[in-house]
Amino acid sequence: MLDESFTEFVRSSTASLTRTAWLLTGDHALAQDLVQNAYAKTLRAWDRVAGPGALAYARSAVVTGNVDRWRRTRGEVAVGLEFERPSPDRFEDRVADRDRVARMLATLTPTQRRVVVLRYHEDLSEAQTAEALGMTVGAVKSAAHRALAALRSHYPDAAGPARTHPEEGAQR
Amino acid sequence: MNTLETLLHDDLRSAAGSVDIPVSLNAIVTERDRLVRGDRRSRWVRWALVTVVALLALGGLWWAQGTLWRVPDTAVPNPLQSPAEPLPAPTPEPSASPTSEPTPDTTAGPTASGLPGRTVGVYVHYVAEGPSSLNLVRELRQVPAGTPARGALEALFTAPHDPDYVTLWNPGTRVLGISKHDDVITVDLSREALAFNLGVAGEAMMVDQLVWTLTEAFEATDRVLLRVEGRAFETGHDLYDRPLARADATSSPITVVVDTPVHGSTVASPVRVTGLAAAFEATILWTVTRPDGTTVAEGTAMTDEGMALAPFAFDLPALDPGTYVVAITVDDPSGGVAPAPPSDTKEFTVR
Repeated sequence: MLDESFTEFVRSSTASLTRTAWLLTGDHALAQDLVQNAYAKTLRAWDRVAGPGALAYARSAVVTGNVDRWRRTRGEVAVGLEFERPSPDRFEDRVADRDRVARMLATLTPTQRRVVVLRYHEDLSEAQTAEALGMTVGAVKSAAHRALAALRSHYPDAAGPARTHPEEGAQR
Repeated sequence: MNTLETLLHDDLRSAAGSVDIPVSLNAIVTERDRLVRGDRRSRWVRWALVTVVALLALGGLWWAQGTLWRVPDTAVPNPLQSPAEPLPAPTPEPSASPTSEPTPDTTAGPTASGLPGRTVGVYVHYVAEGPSSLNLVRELRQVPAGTPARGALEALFTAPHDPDYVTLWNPGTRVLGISKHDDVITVDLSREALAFNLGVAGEAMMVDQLVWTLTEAFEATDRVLLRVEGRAFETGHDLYDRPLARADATSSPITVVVDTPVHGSTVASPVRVTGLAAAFEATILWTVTRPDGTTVAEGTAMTDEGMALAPFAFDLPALDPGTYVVAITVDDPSGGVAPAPPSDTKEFTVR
């Protein structure tokens, strides 16, 4: 029998993890595979990771699983060409919005993309991002800085420089 | 407010927020089972690898040990000879008959009963490496008078005194039993006897060492049945499942061996040289040199019989006190066309 605590964990974390996976892949089916595979890894290790650390473990599995997939297909995943069935309301806006974001993220390197997703979608700190990706904090800072520089052209109205540390540019 | 990071954050939230991807618990469990099977498989592969590596390491150790065993360790003292005991056969009697082969005491037979602690001299056969072939040689060893055959075999498994000689037998070999029925001597050795890697010629010479030593301790015409822990001796090239006699060899494994003077001995001049040689037309060549290589004297001598292994004995010319090396070789009938025949050398001191 499946552990009750695991099914509860899946229920509570699916939305967050599938969105992360979608941002990383830009593809509905790939994101689903990625998340289910990450949950399988988490379930295999459930005796160890059950509890507060479970989400971090599963998120790490999503990110590293994605790395595996990128390595396997030797390149970027094609994005934005086909999307999941949209909900009837605000159909056009949604599709256009997702398409734009997916295309924008596709211009980043895999590492930059993962850092951006964890930092600005999951709202992880630099230290948490570094831990999830198995990188040093310095490498996370550097990847985020370069990613923001690359994305700046998509936001002509953005104020504040992203020239030095992204952290400094985040003053509100 | 509208920093790049804020805009990006909002964009990601907005775009991903409308994504609704269901996950299937069944798919998760199926995938988990697949992962676990992969774990088991990779664990099995890991264990298989570890096992193979361990077996290879063990094999390597076994091989290395077998190789080390075969290195003749001349540093190992002869356990059969106490330090107080002088070297065997120190000085030949100048009056010894030149026609008689110097043989050990006839009480070397297995029925000889000796008092405990008493020893008797027995010829034990070793191997000397010549320029192109192996030469069976022999050395007089003191063994317990009560069990001369066993003593001779145990001496066979230890290093000889002459530094030019070696034994091809593993020093770890033990004698499990010796018995004699009619003219067949059966000897049973421990499994350590099988640790060798000598090639066909070396293996034949190794067997000759044992056959000649045992038939020396009993009767020269006896035959020897060699067993290892009750089973026929097998070398990988040959199966020795029948009794072996000295006469089985098409030619004598001994080409030339010097019995006296003994290596390292101190003797009086004139020095009598005795030994055995299988020489064409019965001619042997001798040379006496100083340790620095300068020749003092040389000449020829005759064995008792040509074309067969026969004893020889002759006196060297008078020598001043000092250290010398005598070298004996057989006449080369090919006149230098064939590889040089074996020779035997002994270093001795004239008092």
